[in-house]
Amino acid sequence: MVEAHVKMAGSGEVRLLAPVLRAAGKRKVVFVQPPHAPNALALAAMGLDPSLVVWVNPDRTADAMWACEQILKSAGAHVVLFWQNQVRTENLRRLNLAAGANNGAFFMFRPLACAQDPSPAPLRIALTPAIGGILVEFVKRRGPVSENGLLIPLSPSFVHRHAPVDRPVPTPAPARSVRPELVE
Amino acid sequence: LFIAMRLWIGLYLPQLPLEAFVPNWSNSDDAPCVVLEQEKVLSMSRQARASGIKPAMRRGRVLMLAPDATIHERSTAREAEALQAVALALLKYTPCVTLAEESILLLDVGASLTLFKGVRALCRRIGEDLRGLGFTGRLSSAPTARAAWMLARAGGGRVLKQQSMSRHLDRLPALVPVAARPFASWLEGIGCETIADLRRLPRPGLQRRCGRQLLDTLDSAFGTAPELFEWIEAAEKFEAKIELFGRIESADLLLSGAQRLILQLEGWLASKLMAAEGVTLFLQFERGREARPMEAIEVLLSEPVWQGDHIVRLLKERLGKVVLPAPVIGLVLEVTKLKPTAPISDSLFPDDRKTDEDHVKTLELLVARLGADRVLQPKPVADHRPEVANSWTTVQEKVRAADMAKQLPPDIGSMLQPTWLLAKPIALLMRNHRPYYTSPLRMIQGPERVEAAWWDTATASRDYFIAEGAGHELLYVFRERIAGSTDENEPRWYLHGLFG
Repeated sequence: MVEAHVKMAGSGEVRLLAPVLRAAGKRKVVFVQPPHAPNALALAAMGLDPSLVVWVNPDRTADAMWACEQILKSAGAHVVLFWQNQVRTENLRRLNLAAGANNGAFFMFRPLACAQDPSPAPLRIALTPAIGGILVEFVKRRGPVSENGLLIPLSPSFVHRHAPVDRPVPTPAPARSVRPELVE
Repeated sequence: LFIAMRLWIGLYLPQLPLEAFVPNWSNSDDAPCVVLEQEKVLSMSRQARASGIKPAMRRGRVLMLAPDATIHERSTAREAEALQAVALALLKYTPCVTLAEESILLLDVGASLTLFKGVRALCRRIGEDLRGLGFTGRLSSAPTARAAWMLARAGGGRVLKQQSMSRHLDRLPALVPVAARPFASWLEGIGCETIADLRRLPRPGLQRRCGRQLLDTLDSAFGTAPELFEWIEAAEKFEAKIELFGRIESADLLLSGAQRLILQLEGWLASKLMAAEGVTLFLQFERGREARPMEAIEVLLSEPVWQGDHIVRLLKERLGKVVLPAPVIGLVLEVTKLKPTAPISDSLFPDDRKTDEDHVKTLELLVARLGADRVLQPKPVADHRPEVANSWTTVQEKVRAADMAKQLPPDIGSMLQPTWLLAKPIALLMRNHRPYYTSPLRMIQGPERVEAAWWDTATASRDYFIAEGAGHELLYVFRERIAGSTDENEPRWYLHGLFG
């Protein structure tokens, strides 16, 4: 289970997952309650076979939760993308358990404001659009806290001619954080 | 070397007279229930026992102890029907099911043990099925049919080997065999209490006094004499119905009733080597002032199934949505479509077919609850207008991959298309002659001219651009071109998609 916090739809959240979707192979890719209609042509342009895509669009939030859990619990491996604004922590835990039993991939998209709330997801990222790509910041991950985010170029990108000016600078190592023999 | 083990399972339904009227899953309502035979209590529910009713009580006393008790006359026809239903459901474990005296069912399971992973697992499954059917049962197993019968009648017990069977049988009361019961007082008089005592009596004398039948019973129980059986056969056409006693108004209880019918369906399908592709459940409503027609709940499956749990899951979702206009008094299950069973794949490695089947089942479940128009798959149309090209249809429709590929543009990989399409284009505000959507937009690619459907009323004549907002998000916008427009009216801009 990967939780992605997106400020608004259209930040590049699906394009970020393009390699995952391309690698889906014969697995089904299920969109549960996306904010807008997914465009099959764009998905096909990413290299995903449109016949593998299922769009589940229930009326109510409870139905969406139920549908998502059913898909995760079913035996076949799936790539599930789930959009939800209001989720209770116990529901998140349920989804996390169901996702752990499934050998597919589960991505959950929530608003950026929810990044402060606790969540059982092992990886939580915050996504913000940037020039020519997307800036991925780690809210929670396995291993030490990572302060600086990653800039991931996405297609379509319109900055081929020039290198991006506002490329993030690597953080300078504070004094004595590196052994002296390595510096010499 | 593998030799099929000889093993029989005996199944005794001690509460059958009662449960033929009231299945045990409906026990939750607290009215005591009593079955009378010749004006004497034969069988009673737990609540009736709690209110002090005992077997062989007369009707008057029953009414005195529990004035609200429901009293049924024993109906042998109903009991036979119920036994047939149980036997039908058990046909999925073995084709050899037979009905013996005192409504005990005997199953020859010697050949089924490997398939169902041992006698213990098999007994557990039969017990679960019995509970689903609404009956209380005592299960026994023994290497001979008659021994299984005797053990079941005496209260159950599981033996697998000939030696332990003899030991167990010897300990049973002497009056367990039907043929011994007319001589109860004589047997008691000579101090013959167990089967072992009975066997110790001299055979010629026992035959003279009690007849041939008792000796035959004992011989076949201990495996020294053969026995012949008449197997129960499934009817040619499946139709199962259940009359519900007590008016049922909740979908949960309806589901328990439907589950019983589906268990019978499983048995029938297994014995006929068939799989169901569609079933219909009819709900019979109580007659009010006017007769109500039966309501049909039709379940169609895209993959034929011969196991009921998937049908139960689909029915559960369907029943949850049904609004009952009146209490339900009966259920009827019919199979509408049948197919021969496809053999189970015996390949070593897990194959795709299995996961595909699972996927189809999950989608069916989603459709059953959410509705067909809520679970969609792409059905692209070759058109230049994005909203037409991006068509979706229900997953129940079969879309061939080749047709789909034909509708996609050939240079799909190089196309710049937004991931999200808005249901309806949003008209954008204008600020300083530039379209504005949360921030002023900067056009970074375009225009891409689309002119389509001039033959139609939905004429589209647009210039598409990819625009970038202040937060670097990419938007798919278009400028509407109106024929004959002059420079004075500002062009109208719309937001049509987002690069998600």
